[in-house]
Formats: sequence, C-alpha cells, structure tokens
Amino acid sequence: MSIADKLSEVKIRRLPLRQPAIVERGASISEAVEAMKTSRLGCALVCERGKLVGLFTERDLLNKVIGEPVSYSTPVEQVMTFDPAHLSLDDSVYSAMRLMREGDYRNVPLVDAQGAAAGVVTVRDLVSYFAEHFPKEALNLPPDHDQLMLNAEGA
Amino acid sequence: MICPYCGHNNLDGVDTCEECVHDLSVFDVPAPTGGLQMHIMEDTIGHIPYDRLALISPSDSVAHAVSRIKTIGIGQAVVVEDGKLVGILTERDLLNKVAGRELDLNALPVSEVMTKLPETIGEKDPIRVVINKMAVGEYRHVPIVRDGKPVGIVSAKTVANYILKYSGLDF
Amino acid sequence: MSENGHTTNGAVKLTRKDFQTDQEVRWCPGCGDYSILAQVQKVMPELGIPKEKIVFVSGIGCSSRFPYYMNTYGFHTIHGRAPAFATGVKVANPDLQVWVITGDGDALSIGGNHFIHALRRNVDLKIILFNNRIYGLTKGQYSPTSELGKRNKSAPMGTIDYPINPLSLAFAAEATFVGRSMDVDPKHLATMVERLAAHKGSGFLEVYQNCNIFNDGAFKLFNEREVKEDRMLQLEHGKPLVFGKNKDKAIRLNGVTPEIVTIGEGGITVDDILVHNENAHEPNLPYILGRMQFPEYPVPMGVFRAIEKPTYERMLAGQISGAVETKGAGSLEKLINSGETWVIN
Repeated sequence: MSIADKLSEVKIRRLPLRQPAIVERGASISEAVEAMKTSRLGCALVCERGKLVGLFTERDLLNKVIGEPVSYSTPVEQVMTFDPAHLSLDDSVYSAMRLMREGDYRNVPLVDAQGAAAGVVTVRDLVSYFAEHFPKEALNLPPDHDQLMLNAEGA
Repeated sequence: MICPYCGHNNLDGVDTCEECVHDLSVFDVPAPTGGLQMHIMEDTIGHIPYDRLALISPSDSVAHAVSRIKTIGIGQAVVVEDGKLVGILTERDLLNKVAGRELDLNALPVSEVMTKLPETIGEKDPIRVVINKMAVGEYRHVPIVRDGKPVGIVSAKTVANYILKYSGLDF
Repeated sequence: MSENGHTTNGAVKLTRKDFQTDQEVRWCPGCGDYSILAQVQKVMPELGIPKEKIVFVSGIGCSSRFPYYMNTYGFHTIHGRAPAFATGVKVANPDLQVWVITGDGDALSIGGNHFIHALRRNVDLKIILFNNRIYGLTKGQYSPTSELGKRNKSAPMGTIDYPINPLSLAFAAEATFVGRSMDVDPKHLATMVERLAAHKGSGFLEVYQNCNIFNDGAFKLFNEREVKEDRMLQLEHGKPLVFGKNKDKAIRLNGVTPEIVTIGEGGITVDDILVHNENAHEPNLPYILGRMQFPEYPVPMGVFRAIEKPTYERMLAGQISGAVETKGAGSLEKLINSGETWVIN
C-alpha cells in the first residue's frame, strides 16, 4: 500500500489521539485555560448540552486575550470560534490533512453522528503518524543530527 | 540479502557478495527508494517555505513580544542575543506560563517565559530531520539557523502540507 | 513550578539536552537504538532526579554503548555482568537510580545467570533489554532469541537452537515489574520507560529493536504501522484484552489456553473477555500472556506485571542498622585483626 492509499483509506479513529479539554459553554476563559494546560493540548472544545458549539485555541488566547483588555473571568464563548470546521472519527487521515491545509488549522475537532464532541486531531498527530511509516529514515536518528552516520558501524 | 548484481542469496549484513564479490554494504543503510520516502531523504529544508520570523531580545517585555507577534500575524517569536538564537517564545509558553495568572506583562522579561535553546536545523538538512524533531522530539516549531543566526522557522503545518504535496493525492 | 524554569525547591529543571553528551553516537544509520536513546533522554528530565543521582550500567554489545551517550554516571562493564555491577552500585549507594542496559546476547547468553539473580533479589534496578534477535556488534551471529532455522553467519544451514522467551525467564526469576515495548512506537516506549523508572524493585523491560544491518525486519511482520493494530495487543491494567482495527477481537481463556474471539460473534460479549491485572501476586496469567506469539496470537505489549515487595537493598540496610543498634557500629580493622593471625617476616 502506498502512502497515498494509506492516507486516504485510514480513518482518523485509528490514530492514537489524546483527549482534549472539554468545557461547557458558560465556562470562563480561565477555566478553559486551566483545562488546556492539564490536557497538554493547544485547544479546548466548548460544548452545550453535549453538542460541540465552539473551539478555543492557543491562537485565540494569543490574539484575543493576552495583552488585551479582556478579563479571564469572561465567558469563553466570547473569544472562541463558533461552529468550527470539524470531522468525524471515520473520516480519512487525508481529509484531515486537506481540511487543515485549506483552513490553515492546527486542531480539528471531531464529532460523532449526534454532533457530540469525540476528540480532536492535531497537525502533529498527522506528522507523527506519517513518521511511524518510516522508522529507519525518520525515527531512528541521532540526537545531534549533524552526526548522521553514513556507513554501518563495525565492531 | 539477495545480491542485486548476481542474484545470489547472501546472509544478512555481509560486506561483499559471496558469489560476485560486489560491495553490498551500501545496501544495508537506509537509502532513498522512491516517492515520498525519497523526498524526505533528499529534499533539504531549503525546499520548503519558511515561516516569517519575529525577532525579539531576552530583555524585551512579554507585552512587547506579544504585540510584535500579533502585528506580524504569526504564533511565535525567536529570541536572539547578539544575533544568535537563544530561545523561542511560543503560544504554548504563553498558555503554560502566562495565561490565567496575575502578571504585569510590561515588567515580565521574555527570558523568564521563553523556551531556552530550542532544537534547530540547518538549511542543508534533509526533511526527515525536521520530521524526526517533530515526531520524536514533539516540537511544533523548529528554527532554521545559519552560523547560529536564525533565518527562518519550520512549523508542523508546513511539514504536513509538504507530505500532502508529495503523497500523490493532490490532483 | 515557577515561570523562570526553576522548580519550587530552587533546582533548575533539566531538559533533554542536559542528558546528551558530546560523544558521537556510533550506531549504524537506521538502527533502532537511536529511537530508544531518544525516548530515554526524553523521559529522564521528567523524573526530577538530578543527573548525579542516575547511573547507567551496561555490558557488551551495541546496546551497551548506551552509557556513553547519556550525560549521567555510567559503567561500561564486562560481557553479561552488568546486573552484578549494578547490584553492587545500588547496594552501596541506595539513593542512586540505577539503570541496566543490556541486549539479548549480553543478558541471556553469557549473562543469563546474573540476570536471574538480579531480578530474583528484587534489587531496585531498571533493566532494559534491547532484543534484536541477533548478535549485532560481532556482526551477525545468532543469539538466544533468534528463531529456530534462521540462517546467519554462525549457522549457515540454519540455527538448531531453540530460542528462549526473555519474558518467561523474567517471570521465572520473580521480577516484580515486567514489560515489553518496541523501538518503532516512540510514545509507547516513553510511557514504558516512565513506568519502569517509577517502579520500586527489580524492573525488566524488553524492547523489540530492529537491527537493520544483520537482522532487518525481525519484527516487521507484526509491528509494521499498518498491521500493528491487528497483530499486537495493548495491555492496560483493569481493561479487557481487546485488539484489532475495529477493536472487535479479544482474548478469552479456555482453561489455561488463550483463544482469540470476535466480540459479537457466537454470543461473545465484553464480559467473556479476559481483563488484565498487573498487580496479581502470582505471575501465572502474565506468563501465559508472555507466551503469546505471532502468528497464532497477537503479540502483547505493555506492562505485564507490576507488584511491590521489599527490595533487597532496603532489607539489607534494615539488617545492618538493626545489627548496629544491638551490637554497635563495627570496625573492619578490628575484624581483620581478630581471631588467629600470623605475621610473616
């Protein structure tokens, strides 16, 4: 199977995705920020009655909150992206890459058939997935890349 | 391994073919074969678009750094001292160390928030090196340096788009 | 942790670079050892232990070049004897964190004996075994884990040695932590190294490592990215043993034999599936899991067993301090000069 086949047939659900921060619509920016720090991902999914309604990312934090006259107790819905572009766990890895390129996104929320939040796929998940197909070329490199060995080492 | 010159079935890892004595050691190490694999081994960083740079100094205030980043429209700033790269200030640093805390951003120096001495790459390095830094090192942005001075930045988005471009899926 | 990179007790937080040395890393291009080095260097700063409290002890082999590439204390010792040295280091200085880096040849051939006793004694050592199923450094002879019938330099007509399963040996040696990971899954490897670091007692981690020069593709049949979900089984404590792309295949015990079943077929439900328990006192079930091999079964990966027992060095320290309390601190000088002694002119 070529890389092209793999990317277009493999579903997003097969990637080892991490659990993103999920907050309720009425949550404050500070709650979203704390949840993001714990999740170690750069975004928070905002939900209302179980359904995804918005996305708040590090970029929103930078552009709309830090250094702006906005208090951290402001509801996060005032600085999030409403109705963000999203995919489902059964969409292909290729579709995630296309969407990220077209929208210039780094985080794409995932929803299930009922519109409930089902996770997030990040651009780094895609790069890692790709790298795992080339362990000898891309994973097994020395810590200092200037020391790339050219020949097999003997005894 | 099968000798590509005479077809003899040799043991793994022999230096020369038992039949025709051709050197086989070159075939053991990873070599470009074709398609995307060949691209990541042969294309260098110089092949892909660099992200714009915002240069700040360690003594600048975080407030100043943030305003510069926003003006340029990117998500991180590269910190230089005497022209040499000493750190990087990213959105993740801002999330983890600044957001939600009672801090005076005008008084907080960049040096206290930045990630010090990040991993870097050179313009002649093959793409697979930056893929390694992102997949294994878990870095999202890798500055490109020439003689210790930053000349650009590669982001994970650029790498993902590169993979997409050479995957053969785009028509 | 405060904003300027210092921990709350004032110590500077370490980064991955702090654990890199200036030595040129001399493994073959494409070697799986690079991946293991990268993950260990990534995990070390997270442990919060100062570098001078960490020791890497190795034997002989490609794996055993490891201590040169870690900026901590290290010993590059003699073939197979790393566990013996490491036991000495740990007992003499119990507040060091001692790691043992070894390979399938070093630990299971010449080092088999020391391996067993270090694990048996429950000395707090973290043993990582790089299993590439070949002798790499000496250029391609078969090892105790090479498959039967494998053709190589010291067996041109195929090996007639039956291989040993390192995990089975570790269970037999009463290791209190037994795990398995592989070089091509960096995230899993990092998690396993963290678990090994946190364990108190004899810890053993087998890492499937690809030697692309002398035994390329030894594990490819089941650990290649596209087939790995169907041919490998991730072990998680308290969770049922489920695998497959669609998470619909599972393991059930039929007496003492594991069987692969499909959830939903033949009336099989999630309740019939074996649930993994890392903390069981007896290693019977983990032993059975460790015996599962491709192609009859999916290859299990993760933590097989993690139990706590008093460690050797703790009990030794206890005995010494107990003796000192009752008999007073001893004097080696007096002991040597006691009993019958002779002076030779």
